[in-house]
Amino acid sequence: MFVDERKYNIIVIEDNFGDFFLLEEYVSEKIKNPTIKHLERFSELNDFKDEVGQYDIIFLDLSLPDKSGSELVESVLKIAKNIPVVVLTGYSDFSFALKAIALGASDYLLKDELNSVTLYKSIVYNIERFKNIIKIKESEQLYNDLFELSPQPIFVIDAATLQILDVNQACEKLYEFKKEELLNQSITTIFKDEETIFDNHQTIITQTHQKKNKEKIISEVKYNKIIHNNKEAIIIVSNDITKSIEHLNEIESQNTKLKDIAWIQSHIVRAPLTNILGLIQLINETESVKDKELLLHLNQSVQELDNSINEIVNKTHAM
Amino acid sequence: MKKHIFIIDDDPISTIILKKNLELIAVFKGIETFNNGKDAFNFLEKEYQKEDKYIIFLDLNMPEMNGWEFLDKVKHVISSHNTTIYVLTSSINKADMEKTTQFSLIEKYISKPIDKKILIEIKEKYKL
Repeated sequence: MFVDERKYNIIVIEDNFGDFFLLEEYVSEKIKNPTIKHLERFSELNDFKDEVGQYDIIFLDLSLPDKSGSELVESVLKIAKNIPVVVLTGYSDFSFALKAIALGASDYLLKDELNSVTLYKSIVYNIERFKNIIKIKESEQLYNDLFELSPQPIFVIDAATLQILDVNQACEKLYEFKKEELLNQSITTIFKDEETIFDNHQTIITQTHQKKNKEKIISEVKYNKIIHNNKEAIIIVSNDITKSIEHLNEIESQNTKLKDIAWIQSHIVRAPLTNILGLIQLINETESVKDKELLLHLNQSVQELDNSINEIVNKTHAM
Repeated sequence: MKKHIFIIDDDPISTIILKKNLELIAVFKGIETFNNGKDAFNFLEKEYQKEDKYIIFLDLNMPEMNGWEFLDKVKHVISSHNTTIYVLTSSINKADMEKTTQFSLIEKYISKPIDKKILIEIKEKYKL
């Protein structure tokens, strides 16, 4: 007869000693030297919970003196976390066994039909299957984290109705809405451009978005079509570029001011200066230092130059 | 053939300096002065003669109609065959200098104050 020599650590929570001994015996028929921890009450499991992680599987009787039914199953599943829980039940409780599965239990065994073969099969099957379930859960968690914890705000919207189906934390933070406030709302609550087109041709669009406090921001939006809960949906990544646009505008306005200054220097400051130069040339050429008219113009031009310099200095202070 | 010398400048001192310099090289005849582009344009629109010769000293920064606006309008009225324009400005701004290349009417960009040598060249070229 085949005996499994691998190491198995099993927790059995069962207040009926007769049932426990029977189960222990069936286990021993197929498994060499199993480690079986016998607990009689839920409270005992609760006290033992720090060590539960070292075990491979839990067998749980559905009615214990200190807890039973759904409450018991849920409490045990919480403690079991990453190991499978198999419920033990009699014929009379059969319907409840199904409910336990729905709650998250891995399997059920009818005590009246228990034998070493079905018990062994249940142990091996549930331990192996649960490993895969854990892997799927981990990968699901990873993908959920990629969405939920992405530093970039992401929306998922219905492709037909434009209703918001999901948003991540960065989205809540940027737009200052709570997730519940956005779900099932139209994306136009936030996207304020009249034409909010999502076709296949344009994959980056610059848009005006509105936060909860009505503040407008400029966002660069990228999107892709996906299937979400069997529906055609659009995943939208939003990149707030308000600050860079403001920065750009500021640089442009400073450039304009610099060009203005160059123009003022050329046309306003240099005009009287060129007159002064021209007049001095004339005075030299004609040797008419006593020409009253030229000297008068010279004086006037010097005054003008002084005035325009004062004017510019005042303008610069006002900037 | 009559020869006209136009000085288009809102700055009276600048106009006087140019006129005195022309006097120094003995050019007296045919000088007309305008305070802005608009006055000069209105004059040309009415009085322009195909058979006459026009030499125009054009300032850029003027009220009413500045030098650029004058150039834009006047190019539909006059021909470069008998008209030569010298931009005479206090501006040493690169943007202004580059812009002059857009106008075929412009012979030269001259930064004030004008050098008498340039005037002598002009006098000889057009036999003023």
